[in-house]
Amino acid sequence: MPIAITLKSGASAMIVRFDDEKVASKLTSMGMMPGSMLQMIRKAPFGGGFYVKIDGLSIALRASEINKIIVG
Amino acid sequence: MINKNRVRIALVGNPNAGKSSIFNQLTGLRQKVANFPGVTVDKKIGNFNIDNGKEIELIDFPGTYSLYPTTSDERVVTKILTNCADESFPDAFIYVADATNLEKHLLLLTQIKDMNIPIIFVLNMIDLAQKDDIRYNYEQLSQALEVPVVAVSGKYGLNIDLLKQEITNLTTQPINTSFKPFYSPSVSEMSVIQKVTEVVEVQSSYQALIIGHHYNWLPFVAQQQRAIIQEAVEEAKFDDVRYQIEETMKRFDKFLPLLKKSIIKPANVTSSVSDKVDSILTHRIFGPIIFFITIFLVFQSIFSLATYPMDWIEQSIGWMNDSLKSNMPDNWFTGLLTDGFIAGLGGILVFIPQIAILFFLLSILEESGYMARVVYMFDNLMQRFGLNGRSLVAMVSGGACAIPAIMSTRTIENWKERLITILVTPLISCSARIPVFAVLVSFVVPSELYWYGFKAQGWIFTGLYLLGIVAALVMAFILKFLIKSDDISSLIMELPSYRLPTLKNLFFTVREKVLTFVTEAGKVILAISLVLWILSTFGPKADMQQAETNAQAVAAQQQLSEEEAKDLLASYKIEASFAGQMGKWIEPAIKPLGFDWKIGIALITSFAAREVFVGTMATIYSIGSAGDDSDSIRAKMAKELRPDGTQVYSVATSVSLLVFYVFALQCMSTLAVVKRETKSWRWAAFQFVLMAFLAYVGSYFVYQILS
Repeated sequence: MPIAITLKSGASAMIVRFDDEKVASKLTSMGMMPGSMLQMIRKAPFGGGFYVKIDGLSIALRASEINKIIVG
Repeated sequence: MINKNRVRIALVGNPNAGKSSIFNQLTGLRQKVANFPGVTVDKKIGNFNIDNGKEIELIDFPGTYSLYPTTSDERVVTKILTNCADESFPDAFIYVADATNLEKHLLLLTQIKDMNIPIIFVLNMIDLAQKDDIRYNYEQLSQALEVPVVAVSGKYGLNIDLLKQEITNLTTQPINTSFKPFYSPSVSEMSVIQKVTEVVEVQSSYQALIIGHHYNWLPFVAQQQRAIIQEAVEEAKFDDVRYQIEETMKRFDKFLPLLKKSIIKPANVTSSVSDKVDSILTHRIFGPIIFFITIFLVFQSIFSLATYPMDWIEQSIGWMNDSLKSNMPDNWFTGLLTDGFIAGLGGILVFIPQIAILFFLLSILEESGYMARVVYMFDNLMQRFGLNGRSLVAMVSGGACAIPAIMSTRTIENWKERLITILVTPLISCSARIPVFAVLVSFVVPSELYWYGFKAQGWIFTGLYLLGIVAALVMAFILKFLIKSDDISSLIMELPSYRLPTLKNLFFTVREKVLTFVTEAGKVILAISLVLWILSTFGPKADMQQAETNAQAVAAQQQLSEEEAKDLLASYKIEASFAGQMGKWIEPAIKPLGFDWKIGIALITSFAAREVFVGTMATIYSIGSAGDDSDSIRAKMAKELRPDGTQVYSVATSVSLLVFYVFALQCMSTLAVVKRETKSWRWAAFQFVLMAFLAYVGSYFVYQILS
């Protein structure tokens, strides 16, 4: 299963599961869970974070965090 | 119904739900800021009266997504809501949610609903929801969630009267007593709930469940109780995070279908204005450029706009002191009133323009949603130094003044990142260092000298600023490894849609910051300034009398004018004063830096503020009546010789002194603000010692190498 970090800018995929409990607990409490649609928007400069949209909401994530999101 | 004369209501909701505009609408000017005990989290409390004359105390809780906290701000909410004996435990809730995005804002509502405390549900930003063609059936929503619903616009004050009516209803109408929890716990959750209920006093079983999750850090759970709960948790194989996620998903599964029945939303959302704006503002190349232009403008505004009111305040204070001095008898009381008290007051007031301007501009950036983008863009870069995207804003503002810059770190959620920002920001050269630099730089290189087509003095100035910046970053990098933190570092953050800030909210933020500074840091600044006045005015009696006699004798011998005699007396007196004695006493310690006791005195008095250095030098060299005129001070200092005939302000001593002023925390106001922001003298003292150490070591090496 691909991880969300591999998505090209503009591409979308459905979240299948989270590989890390801390990431899962934070994202689910924000209402983003398996079944939500994740769209890659852009990557920040200076090797920085990722700008994604989950269910239409804009979210910023670190590489270490987006790495734990499994999409399919 | 709630049968109390004073009803305490907690304002809760997710971050970005617009709680503060509701808070401002309800309480107006009757609000103040305190602290939740034990933590540096702001507790905003407001009061207002409802129609039947009862008084409502409204507490604005930190925004959180759920009762499973990840930051210290969020932990406050869980801590208070699980402890019925807490002084902030509410009689009722006002729950604020964003009407444009309701499905993501209901988790916390269903959680606090299970605590069996009355709730008023506020659908905020209803104006924006209508613009997006989102329609609600309020009656159905209210029935489905079993709470009274009020749709309001905090920004425009729409339906605030209806909200007040609902609050009145809480105190007049019977409350539905048939309590039916939203969430039904599983078997192992039930066994934990039962055990917790036996040892801790709770109002609802959901409180017990939350305690079962967080018992090991909740401060009100005693050691003994912890042991019992731990046993039950282990027995039930109650896995903290897994159960939490399961509970969250079950809640969503239950309320999403309920919500669907009471909402009509347009199916396909086209690319919004926010997305278009973001494609430029968070662009990989344009994003950082736009940020640096923005922050440069902010810096310029504090630096240049604040000068006018600051000059005005300083002139008024000076004028007031002059007229008081000429109309009152020349005794210690007049001195205490003018040079001690009024000067200290001036030292507080003079910061207000900078604080007001910085917070006005920063709140625009914060409220519009731009600051969240800044954090996103610079997260990785700043993380390497243990800092946060917002730290960048504080550090640049520190170039004007560290006081508002340190106060602005409140918005950094992670305590460790915030603390490091507070500790390193004063290393950035602020505007108060400029007069000191300006006097000393002329002893290092003559003003006619040019290096590579630019004035040599300009190069030295640039070097001093760079020295401060590099020191701040290096120090941040070191502190990153030294400071321990419980908070898990995480970025996961909502980038809210861009919104126009409201003048009302800006006004309340600026007002709050200015009031906090004046009332809390002001006390300390005034106290220290009085102590410094005593030190430089009084001394051992015999020494002070001797100084007076000597000054009179010299004045008579050299036939000085009245003005010159007065300056001479002031110079002799400061030498004999306690500050003068201290200057002489520390001379052996500062000699390796190239400083004599006269510089020692200036180091002590300029703890009030760096620019006092210039004024003290004027007094010591008996040209006090010339005030802060740097040219005459410079001329006098240039002539100053050591006993061996060499110049006191040699290149080595001057550079050493410059380096000292780049590093040393010569500013009582910064210390007062750091104390207030970190809630302890410990960090203020640590910072003072750390910067003094840097200053001493830096100056020592510079002097030893150059001399």
